[in-house]
Amino acid sequence: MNDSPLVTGTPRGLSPNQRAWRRFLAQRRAVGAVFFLLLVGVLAALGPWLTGQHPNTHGEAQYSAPGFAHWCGTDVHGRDLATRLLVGTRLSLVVGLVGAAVALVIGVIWGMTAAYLGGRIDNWMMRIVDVLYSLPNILFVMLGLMALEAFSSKYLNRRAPSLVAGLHLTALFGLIGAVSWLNMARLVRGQVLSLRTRPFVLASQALGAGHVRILTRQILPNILGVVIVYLSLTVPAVILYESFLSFLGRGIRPPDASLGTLIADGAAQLNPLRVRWWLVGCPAGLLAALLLALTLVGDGLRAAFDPKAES
Amino acid sequence: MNLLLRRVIQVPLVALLVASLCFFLMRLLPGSPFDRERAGSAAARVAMDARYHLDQPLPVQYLYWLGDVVRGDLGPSLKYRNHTVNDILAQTLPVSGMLGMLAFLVAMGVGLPVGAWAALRPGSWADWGGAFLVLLGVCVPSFIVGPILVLIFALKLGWFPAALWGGFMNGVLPVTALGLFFAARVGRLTREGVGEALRSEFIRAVRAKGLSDYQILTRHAFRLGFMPVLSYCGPMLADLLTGSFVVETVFQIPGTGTFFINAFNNKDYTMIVGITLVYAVLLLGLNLVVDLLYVWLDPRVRRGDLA
Repeated sequence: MNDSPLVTGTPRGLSPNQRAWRRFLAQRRAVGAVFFLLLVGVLAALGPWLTGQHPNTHGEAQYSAPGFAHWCGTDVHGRDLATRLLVGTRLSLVVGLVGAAVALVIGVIWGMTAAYLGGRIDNWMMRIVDVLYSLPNILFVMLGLMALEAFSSKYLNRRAPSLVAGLHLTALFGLIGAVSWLNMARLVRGQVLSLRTRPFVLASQALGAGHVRILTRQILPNILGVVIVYLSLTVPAVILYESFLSFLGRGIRPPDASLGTLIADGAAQLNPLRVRWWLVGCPAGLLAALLLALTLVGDGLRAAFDPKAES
Repeated sequence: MNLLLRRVIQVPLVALLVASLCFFLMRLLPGSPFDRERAGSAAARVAMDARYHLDQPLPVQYLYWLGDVVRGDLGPSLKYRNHTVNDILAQTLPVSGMLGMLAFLVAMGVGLPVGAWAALRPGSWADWGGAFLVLLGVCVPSFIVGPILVLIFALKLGWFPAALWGGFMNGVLPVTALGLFFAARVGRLTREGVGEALRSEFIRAVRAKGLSDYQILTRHAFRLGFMPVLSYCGPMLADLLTGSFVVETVFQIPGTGTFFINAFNNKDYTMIVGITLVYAVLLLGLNLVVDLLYVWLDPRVRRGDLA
């Protein structure tokens, strides 16, 4: 990359995606946000090893304020809040990535199929998207999780409690992703519709390429930029969904922590007699910072992949 | 008009479909809603099942339910035995509706002027400050804003009550918590929409004609820049609704959202199905209104250029 002809100022031999990537790297705010996210990611991955505490072990020091022993203080059970924050962040990041990946797969396939098949099928597929768009989809996640809970408590609970927890988590990831694909599908459909009649696609068709080949070799590389941009905007949305569900007690179940449950726990401790600000402030601040950084990265990507920026 | 008629008919049909799916999901779950009752006599249990038609096969149960729903009866609550779902909705829906409407007004009343102002002066401190606030607002959802507002304005400063619903003072914090997020979104969309409109060719033409900045904004740029905000209104309504779950929980407001979340904890199946149906009708109907407004406001759609 370093010995590219960019030295002369003429980006010869670079694909549009490569040029977009360079434009992204030129944005200080977005690159800073990427570094912040990497830092948080590493901290979250190290988690309990870094703080030397266990996230779910009850301690003697109840409600101790932030200090050297406990960086972010302790909660009602004397659990170290910093450790719980890191574990919760880890979960939020994983939810964001997995959920966005699920949304990506469904959305791209749905949008591409609708646009490529066209006609009545396209009409119906997009009507479904329109209808789903106007419903509160988080409701479907809550219903799905409730159904799973009822079935697992009947058939699995006694035999394999750890399996149930894992199943619940997987379902949470999958369901959140399964309701977050609508924007992606609309966007991909629009892109494919405009690409479908472009000369290079017609040329490929004339050369006898099959549908799958055209979709994967001609269309997919060209919608990559838009897809990446929307993917980056889906990640914070999915994280928000999970925190929201956990806040309402419908997501991650105690004693496991997520940023949402930590905020909910902190909010439950709010009372006029003793204000323990760190219980709300720390998780809320961390989640806000995380969402801010993700949004900044998304904005940076959007600016970098904007076709109008080419000139 | 044919299209309009189709859309209007579609609202109850889709809502009924959603509620029916919800109904079957609830009935197919293992266990009866009365499993957690104190063990009564077997006869009492049989009577209970018969009263709620639970002893019938599923399709028959569905037909009973469907008949009641068509007549506007959402059935009894399985948890609050002395109340029907209709009773509870009649008590709680006005509260939630008021909360949602006020938050919607806050979102529009704050978002539109801030966004337009920032778009008028690109690059100025107002633009940067507005953009920053908007970005912050987008990243700080209601379940963060709510507790923080309580912490600062109710507990530390004591300006507003921390919870419950009633007078004006009770409303300030919840409405802010719910509306702020959407105000930020609306502001962002307005700034982008109006900004883009201001950079377009026809604005240059009207500027050459000698209109002032203010006239350009109100007569031309705003109309175009408002369209993205309008199309965001649809999903915003759904998000306002789910946001109200959180805000009602944080501020202990006796709204529909609180009862809905509790219904999940209580496994109150009839309540879940009933409220889901009402939510679906409400949102689909409001979305229809948004779409109609869109047709009414955008001359291109009105003339059928884009249809």
